[in-house]
Amino acid sequence: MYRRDVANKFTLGTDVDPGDLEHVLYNLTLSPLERLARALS
Amino acid sequence: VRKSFGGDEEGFALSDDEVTFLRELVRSGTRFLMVGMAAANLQGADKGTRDIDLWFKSTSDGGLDAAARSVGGVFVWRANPPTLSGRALERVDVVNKCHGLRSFDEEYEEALDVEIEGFVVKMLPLERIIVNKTAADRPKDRAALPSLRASLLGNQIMTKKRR
Repeated sequence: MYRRDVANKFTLGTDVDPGDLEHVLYNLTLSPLERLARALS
Repeated sequence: VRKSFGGDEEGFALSDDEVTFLRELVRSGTRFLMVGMAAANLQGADKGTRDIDLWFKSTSDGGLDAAARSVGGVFVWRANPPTLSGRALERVDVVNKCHGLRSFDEEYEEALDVEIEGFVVKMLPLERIIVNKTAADRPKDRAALPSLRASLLGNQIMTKKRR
């Protein structure tokens, strides 16, 4: 399932924005240091 | 909980000096926790930050100044608030107060173990970062909460997926 579909499915009935979740799901495919590099750049 | 990462393929999130500083803190047994958005980003949050926030059990620990000096900096403990000084440490902030959290020892007990470049750094888990940001309640804390909640949900989804 595409990340966007997963994000839409799991945010139903929550206060989490599907767009935010989609970004998180992408970040979680990166190594933690790559995540930090993105955040600190 | 222990998470492991590091290695050349993973980019340049931390400078050599920042890695040396953290390694020296760990080597000297200085007790600290990585908190704030850098810790959240390592757990998947998608919100930029300029700082690496570190919470120390005691800022009078000599290991803090020794680690700063190892990269040409200094820990100015007489400043109010005590602060790190030096070009290599511009992105590293000493956090003196963590709103909404329990004592340092209690948070340390439940911290994540994170392996960076072959050594382990203790990190505040997402759930506790949310508690901290909610209690701090500054505009930038409030702005971070949606991303933090999304990160928590994302980690829960990925954990279920791995089972």
